[in-house]
Amino acid sequence: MIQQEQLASFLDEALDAGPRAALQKELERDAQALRFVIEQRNMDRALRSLLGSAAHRERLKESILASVAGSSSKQLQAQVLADTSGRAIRLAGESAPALGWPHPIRTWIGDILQFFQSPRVAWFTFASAVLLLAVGTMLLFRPTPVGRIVVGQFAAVVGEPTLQHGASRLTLNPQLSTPIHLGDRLETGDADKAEIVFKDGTTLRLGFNTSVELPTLNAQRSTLNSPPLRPPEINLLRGQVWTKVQKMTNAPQYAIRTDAATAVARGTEFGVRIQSPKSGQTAAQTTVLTVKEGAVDFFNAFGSVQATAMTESTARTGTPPTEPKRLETLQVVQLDDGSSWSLTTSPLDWPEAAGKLVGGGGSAGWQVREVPLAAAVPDAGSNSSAYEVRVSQLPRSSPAAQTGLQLGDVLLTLDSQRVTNAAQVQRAILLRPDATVALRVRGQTGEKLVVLAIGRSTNLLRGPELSLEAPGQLNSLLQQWIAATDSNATSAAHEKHLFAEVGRISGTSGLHAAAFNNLGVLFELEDALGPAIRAYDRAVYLDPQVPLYHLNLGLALRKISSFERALEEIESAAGLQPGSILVQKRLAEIHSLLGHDSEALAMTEALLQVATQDHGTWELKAQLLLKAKLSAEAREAARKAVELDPDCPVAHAYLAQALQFAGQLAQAEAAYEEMLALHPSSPCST
Amino acid sequence: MTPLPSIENGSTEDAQLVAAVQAGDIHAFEPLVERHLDAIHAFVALKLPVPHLVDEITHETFVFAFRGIAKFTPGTSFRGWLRAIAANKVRAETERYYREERNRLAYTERRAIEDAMHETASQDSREVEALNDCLKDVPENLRTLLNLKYHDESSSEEIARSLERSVSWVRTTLCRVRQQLRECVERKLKAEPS
Repeated sequence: MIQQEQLASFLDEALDAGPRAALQKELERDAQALRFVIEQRNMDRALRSLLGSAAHRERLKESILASVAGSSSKQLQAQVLADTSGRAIRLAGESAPALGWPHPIRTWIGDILQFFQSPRVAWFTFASAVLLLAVGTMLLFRPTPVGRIVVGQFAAVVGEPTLQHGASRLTLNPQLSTPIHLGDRLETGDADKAEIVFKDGTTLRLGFNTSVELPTLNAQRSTLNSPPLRPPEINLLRGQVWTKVQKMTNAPQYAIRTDAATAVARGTEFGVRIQSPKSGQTAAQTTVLTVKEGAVDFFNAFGSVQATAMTESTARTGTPPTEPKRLETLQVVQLDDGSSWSLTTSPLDWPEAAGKLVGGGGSAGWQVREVPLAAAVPDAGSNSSAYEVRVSQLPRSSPAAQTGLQLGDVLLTLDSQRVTNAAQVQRAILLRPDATVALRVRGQTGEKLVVLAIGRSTNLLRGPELSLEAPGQLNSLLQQWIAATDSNATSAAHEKHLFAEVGRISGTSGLHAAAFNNLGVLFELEDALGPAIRAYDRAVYLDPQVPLYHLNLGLALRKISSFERALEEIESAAGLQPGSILVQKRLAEIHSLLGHDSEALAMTEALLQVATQDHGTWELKAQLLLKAKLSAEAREAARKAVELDPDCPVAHAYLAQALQFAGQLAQAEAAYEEMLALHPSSPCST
Repeated sequence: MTPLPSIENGSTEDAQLVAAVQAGDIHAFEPLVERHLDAIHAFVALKLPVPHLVDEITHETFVFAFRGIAKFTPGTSFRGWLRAIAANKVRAETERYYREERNRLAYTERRAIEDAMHETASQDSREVEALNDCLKDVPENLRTLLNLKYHDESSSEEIARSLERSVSWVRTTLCRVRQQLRECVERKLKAEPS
């Protein structure tokens, strides 16, 4: 499934040759995307015509009128084409226009041409011309000495890496400032590292046990007027490299290739590493791309993905690269003014998912997680797994807390079935709203049986109005999908299969939209944001009047830092259901991320007029004021947030930061200590 | 954005101008070109998947109409007649281009041309007028975006700088606007079947 942004770049002719070719291949398989491209181009031409400049239109009109006034139609066509598209066309049968040389030169050329009328001279001239042509061709196609083009130098050397120039057998140990050429091969061993700075400022760092090759320019490129400032591509033969690419206007391609895939930079910082196969595995090469900043096109013959900041994608020989997965749960966004903004975009958890499903899923208001046995109370007799599942978050008001469960309790069985992993528990709860489950748990006072009444989570915003039987249909679909979830859950084929499955459901477009929304939630649970966004997008397309779909799409877009699009969707949600505090908070946050600080602050102030006791809004206000360096006001807002939710470490962190900025260091230290005393994942009210 | 005059059925003004041209008044052809150029140009642009030939085919359409004006049937739509000429020229040009360039075309271009070849000429004869109507409802901010792109011919990077948005926003929003316009055109054509 091709991403919308990739298609938009493709239509804007903004893709480099490699990704463009890969996308063309994808389009051959994706009829829907191909139709989209064709329709977009049709509309593009029509808009160019309807909205194009008046001058262009006038030229065309004049050419038509001149043509009908008696001139040759063909001559005028040539004229209009030359005027409107900059192409000069010589008409068939028309002689070349006379060159504007001075008369004596024309006469001299005429004389020379007369001289060549003689047969002997003509023969001699022909032979000379053939000879000259042969020599010229030889010179033209002679291999250019591209192997010695210097593209950079060593900026750091640890240990004794080896450098080999082109096909030469000799190797040398590079030192600082040793130049590096196209055609060179560089290797590091167990204790070596190296950093190269190319002429444009791009850096390439080689880790331990790494080999790279800088290929010479091919024949086509060797005709370039000036030597390249960095290699257009680097072959990574083993190990790992990290590169920080210098941004340039009209920058030429910069790619890192392995046998399994190619990564093409778009002004970015990223790393590529080749993983050695584990013992017992086949020798298919695995290449891992890690992107820190910007975006990288990662592709091979089987598919293409675009990895954005803080994501990782893996490509194996013979399979397409995986959908990029996020690395961090806390993303730090660098803003234009040089400041940064911390954005929590943790993968969707099961209780959160319940609020996104149409109709609401089951929720116990807790969190459970797997803990390695070594770090837990050893009890190998009751559970042979290396992990046990423990209650990790338990807000006081949650249904789970009210059954007498304690933080840290180990879940042994659920409805008499042995608990082996956290997802098993979370799925059971998500799929059974309004039901009860029997849990056997082991706590500090020994084992006990508790009966947990599962609640039904309220949707974040209004969902669709569906027929009575629709919830049952949707729930059964969700159960099927969850049961079929395996390690391929994020593969393109799996996505395509599920999309097709939704398409086959008999029912209204409203039911299809709801199914796509729930499919989006499922993908988001797997942290497969690309497929999730596409599924939510489909839900919005099919039923654009449902605010829940817009919000789900907006929140998923926010996770991939697509803030402009996230803003559009969340604004649509707000338009359809005004008055939601959650939506207003997200809007304010995204406005701030887009640099609309005063708007964000005004929204937060307005929100506090109606939600005076909302902890999250006070926290957001504190964050916005800290960004504006208004430490006194930030301190007060953070104090209020702490007062409303003393268990939330984030509020303490803002308070500490505000106190520190205000120079109240002792109080700041105390606030930091309070924050550290709380569990980092303590639940904060939202 | 100048709205296209809606002149579907033979208007009196068109009829008078055509009669004047038929009687030998060459100058009467100018207001006819003025009245129908935009619509025919947009029609050709919409139907001919070869952008650099749009001007050429529009030019040929008017010249052909001028030379064959004696064959025009009074009482029928002059724009409809021009559109029929344009559609024939588009078809012929598309087939020629496909024959000559087929092996050099990228897959998407080839498919676009194949689609155009299979489309019937009369299928969407009111598409341009519908599109022009839809353009009137485009919100102000998006209208600015469209003008920057299509009137000023700015690149996405220039538009992004001018609107203080990201390049990605510009590209995605343009796609979205085009999609919405297409859907609007389809709605209008469905609502008022020919």
